[in-house]
Amino acid sequence: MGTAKLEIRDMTMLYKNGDGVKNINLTVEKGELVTLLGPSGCGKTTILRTVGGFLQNQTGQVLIDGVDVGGLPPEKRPTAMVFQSYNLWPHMTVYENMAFGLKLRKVPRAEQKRRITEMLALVKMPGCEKKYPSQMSGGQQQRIAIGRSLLLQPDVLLLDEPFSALDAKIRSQMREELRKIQTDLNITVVFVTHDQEEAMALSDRIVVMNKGVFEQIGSPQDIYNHPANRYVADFIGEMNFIEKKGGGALAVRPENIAARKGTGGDLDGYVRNIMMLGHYLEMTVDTDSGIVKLFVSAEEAARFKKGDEVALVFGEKREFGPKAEIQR
Amino acid sequence: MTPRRIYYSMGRRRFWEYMLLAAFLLFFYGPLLHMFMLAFADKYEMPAVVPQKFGFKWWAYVLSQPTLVSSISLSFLIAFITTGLSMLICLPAAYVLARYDFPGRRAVMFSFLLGNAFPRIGIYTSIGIIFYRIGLMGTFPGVLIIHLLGGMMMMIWLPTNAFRSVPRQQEEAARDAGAGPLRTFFSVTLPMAWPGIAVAAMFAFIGSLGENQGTLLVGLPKYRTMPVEMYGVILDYPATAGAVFALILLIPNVLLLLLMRKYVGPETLSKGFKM
Repeated sequence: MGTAKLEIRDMTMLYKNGDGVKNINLTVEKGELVTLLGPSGCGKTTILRTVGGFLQNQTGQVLIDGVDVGGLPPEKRPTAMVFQSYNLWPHMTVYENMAFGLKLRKVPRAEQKRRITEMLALVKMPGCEKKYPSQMSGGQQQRIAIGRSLLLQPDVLLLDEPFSALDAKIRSQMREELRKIQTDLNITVVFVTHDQEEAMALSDRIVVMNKGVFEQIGSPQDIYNHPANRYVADFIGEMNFIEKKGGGALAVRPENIAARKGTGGDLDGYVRNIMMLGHYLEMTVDTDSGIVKLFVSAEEAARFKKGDEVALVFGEKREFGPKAEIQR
Repeated sequence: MTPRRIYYSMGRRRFWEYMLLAAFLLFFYGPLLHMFMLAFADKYEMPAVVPQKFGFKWWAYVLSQPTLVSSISLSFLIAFITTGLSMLICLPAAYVLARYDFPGRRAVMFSFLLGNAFPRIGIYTSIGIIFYRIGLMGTFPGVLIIHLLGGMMMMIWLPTNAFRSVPRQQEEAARDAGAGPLRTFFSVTLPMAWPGIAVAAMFAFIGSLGENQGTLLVGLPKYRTMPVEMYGVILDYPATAGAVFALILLIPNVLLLLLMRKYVGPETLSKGFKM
């Protein structure tokens, strides 16, 4: 068994006010894209910045290719980071931005030019060498930033919510391109985001975090189909929680509910609303246990109207314990 | 167009507003215009309003007086040295104040305002006493210190906020790309903070050119800058020579102000004074 590309061993990084992460253990294999997913303040950026060298962990180790990089400043670590914004230096042209790291590594001029031209083509920004960052859109700037980081040939590429500041359409386009580049070049990536859709689309594995703790680690399918606890079930995708009298809950995804006319299903209720969402429709149903959401096709929806009695039949479902378990 | 007709065409309120404006302009610019006129007067006898004859006679006169000319060059020499030296001293301090939140940071920043909060002559007198004791009175370093002190406030506050306005991620990106802290400072931080620093440097330069009370106290009799000479010129020379000298003093200020207006906007200045 070879060593993992990145290994975080029992790492604790606490800020002066006590916030932070404790006893973090994580391995990332070469060529893997692992996403740290969670809401603001959960510690995902803390872990990323500790790996990058911008924060110093109090205990534990950060190993890249088996070597402890803990004591090294950012400029000496074999990592490259892309921030959410303010990546490119505004007083330098695109070419100068990209050549900065190469010059420091004493790469000869001709070779610099060759690599930069190649990289600009890879990130689909050919011919932009003489432009200044302020002349480009946010998406274009992020492409250049990613290109600049790739030029450094890092062992681990770190991305801190790089697409959060872009609009939705550009975001999905950038996601696809990043994934393609990453798989083509077989680069090891740690990605941080609060957008669960983004995590699901991009990752080989997702680490769902909450308040400094790992709730679950797994592939997107694992996490979606078999959420380990209520927090993960609620955070990923859409989920209906039907509270039970004992304090626990039944959790069913909208796509796993079928609607039948009349009564006698797992749960009965009245149609509250039917919303058109494109190629499927979303039906909300008023039940004794609250509002339940389900997806129906156009033909099914045609059989119902507002106020109708409807019997809900559950397909795949899970049971969770009392709500208290997600209040850490 | 008699004043009466103007009055009725404008309406009462606007007429008086314009009158007030005209009076103010006359009061404000009148002396300046008068001085400007005098500087180019070959012959001027009171009580005439306009000189009898225009020319450059007095310019030739002033520029031929060795004491006056040497004071001009001394003023500029000191201004350049002061600006350079204060940048050398204050910029690293400004960077620390911008990036590191150490206990007492606010107190340190406030302390630089103190120097400008009290009447200058009081400060200079106490400095004079200290200088006598340590033998800096009447020396070039002594004069330099006086000029440096005058510019400290600007040279600390404006660059500190200029450095603060450089996003940390820009510096981190440079570190990430392989640059050490020093190279990051010179390649990224300094170029990006440059507008604020340039404004501070201009203030330091202009301030040094205008510095008079402290230099009078410490510099005499050996080091006479232009403002110091000016005191004597007003007494010993005719008004026309004084006007020429005053214009020579004024020109660099005007030039720098124009440069500032062109290259640096009001935002940089206002951003410079944030706490």
